[in-house]
Amino acid sequence: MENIPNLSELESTKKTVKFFEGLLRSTPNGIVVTDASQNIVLVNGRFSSIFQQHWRDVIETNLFVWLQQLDSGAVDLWTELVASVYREGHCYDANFKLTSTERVTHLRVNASLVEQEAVEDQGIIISNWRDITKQIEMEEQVATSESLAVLGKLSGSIAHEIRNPLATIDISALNLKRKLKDADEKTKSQIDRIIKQVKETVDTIQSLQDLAKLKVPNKSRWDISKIIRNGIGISEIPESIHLINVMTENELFVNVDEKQISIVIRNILSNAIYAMENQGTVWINAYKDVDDNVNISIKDSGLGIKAENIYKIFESFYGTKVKGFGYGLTICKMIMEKHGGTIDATSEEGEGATFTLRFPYDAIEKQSA
Amino acid sequence: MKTNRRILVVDDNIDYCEGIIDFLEMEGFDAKAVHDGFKALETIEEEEFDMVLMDVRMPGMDGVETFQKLKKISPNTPTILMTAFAVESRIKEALRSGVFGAFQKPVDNERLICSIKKSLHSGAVIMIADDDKELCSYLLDRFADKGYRGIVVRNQETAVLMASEKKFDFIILNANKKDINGVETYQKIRDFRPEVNIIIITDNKKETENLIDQASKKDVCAIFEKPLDIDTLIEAIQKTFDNRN
Repeated sequence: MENIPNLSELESTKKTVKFFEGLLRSTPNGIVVTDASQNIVLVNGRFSSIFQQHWRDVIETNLFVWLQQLDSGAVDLWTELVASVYREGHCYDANFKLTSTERVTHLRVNASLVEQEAVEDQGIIISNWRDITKQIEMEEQVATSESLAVLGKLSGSIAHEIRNPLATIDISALNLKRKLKDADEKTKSQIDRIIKQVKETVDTIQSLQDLAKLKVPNKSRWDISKIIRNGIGISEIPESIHLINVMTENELFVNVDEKQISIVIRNILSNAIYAMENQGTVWINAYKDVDDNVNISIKDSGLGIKAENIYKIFESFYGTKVKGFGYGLTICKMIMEKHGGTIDATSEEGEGATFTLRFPYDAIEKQSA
Repeated sequence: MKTNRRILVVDDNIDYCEGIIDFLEMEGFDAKAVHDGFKALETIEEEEFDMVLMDVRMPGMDGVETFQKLKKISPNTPTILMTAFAVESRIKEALRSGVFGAFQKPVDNERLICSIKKSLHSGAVIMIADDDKELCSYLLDRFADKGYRGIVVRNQETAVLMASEKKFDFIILNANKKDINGVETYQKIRDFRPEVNIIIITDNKKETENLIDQASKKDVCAIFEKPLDIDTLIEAIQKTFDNRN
């Protein structure tokens, strides 16, 4: 019986299998091998981790189980991809997306046919799943900063062209309001609506003008309580809003552009006042966290922000404007990023929202040195 | 019979002129509009006006330039500028050379009326920047008795904004309360209102004197220590005001 391998051949086969297993495991991309009915015959940990699974729980399942967890359209896209592989032997890159509550993962996938001699092994496909989330995010950032540069240039002339007619609308509405002070409530509310909308438009233009002025931060060392006071100073806070400073720590210093951070505070306050419909309480605090970052938190007693909107409220400039949130918060985010800091919002619907500005420890230390 | 005060409106936006004239008439003023700087100078030479309300950006000659020329023809006519969007330095320049106030369009109409009324007033116009409410309201009463017009502001930004909307004869600053950083506010306002008389109220005169640098100290007309001797304060205001006029 010449076909029986001897011991040393067995050893070397085992070694080869181990070698290929190691290869599969150590590749930075997800690798999936499927048969003609899209059952997974081989898979690595990287692919499984996309779905937060161990590979043992993924192998021998059907790929469609996982495709259905991806964003809609994934099943059709995969079907198309497979058709192309059967026809041409390979396919072009296809992009899949997985959106969870915490993050969005972008995956770039290509696949090719595994050549096999045995008839029962026909139709085996190997696919390669590459995580391109970082790359996509960077591309989006570049696109955003380019469009903002153009916007900044335009905003000056836009401001002039729009403020002038708004001034005319505003004064005419006010005159009407005074002349029709004995008119019915409906008529009066029509006029008030004009005046209110003019004011909202002016706020938007003001944001654009703030944006145009947004240069590289001119940083110096500031006591954070002073910045908060200045931020409050430039805000229009109605008497019906109760402002509480709950700051307990003294002498917190940050290295910032005071004018820009005052704008951040003003925008958050104006957003809070809008959310509370001019009635409620705002708590302001400043503190050092465990990592020695300096934080400012601003909490309001408004209705809160819906969970699905909380990531979008800072993104007004590129098409995801959430109703009730102007451009102000987007400007806040840009200013904080220019300072190497962050801005976050947390909210329970009905429980108000908290905005936290975080200034990194580094930026603070470098200055005081 | 006392006639209404007359206001000249200068703006190339004809629709806006009609709106603001209606508004001013409802407020009890007489108003007339012209639509460029040249026409404004001509009109001022021919007719009497109590004040001028003028847009900054106009074709031909802008509002700031018109104001400089107007000042030569009629030096005692206060001018308030309005601007939809103008370079900040241009506005600062106008304020420095004596424009009564500057507003951004759309104008806050209540504040505009307040500013117009102050510009037509013959007694001293005084800003009180202090967060002591009791003291402020007492000062306001005493000023009213003397025929002065007083305005109270409670923080630095409002003080600077108010100083750009109205030309004050005196600014009373609290120099050592945390909420109003007097010395800093004083320097900011001085930058575009070099003529204003500054009176500083402080808890500690020596400390405050050290804070104000030597160069600008000569501009401060008086420093008062708390508790405030209000009679002496009013006397000082009256004296400075009389001397200047």
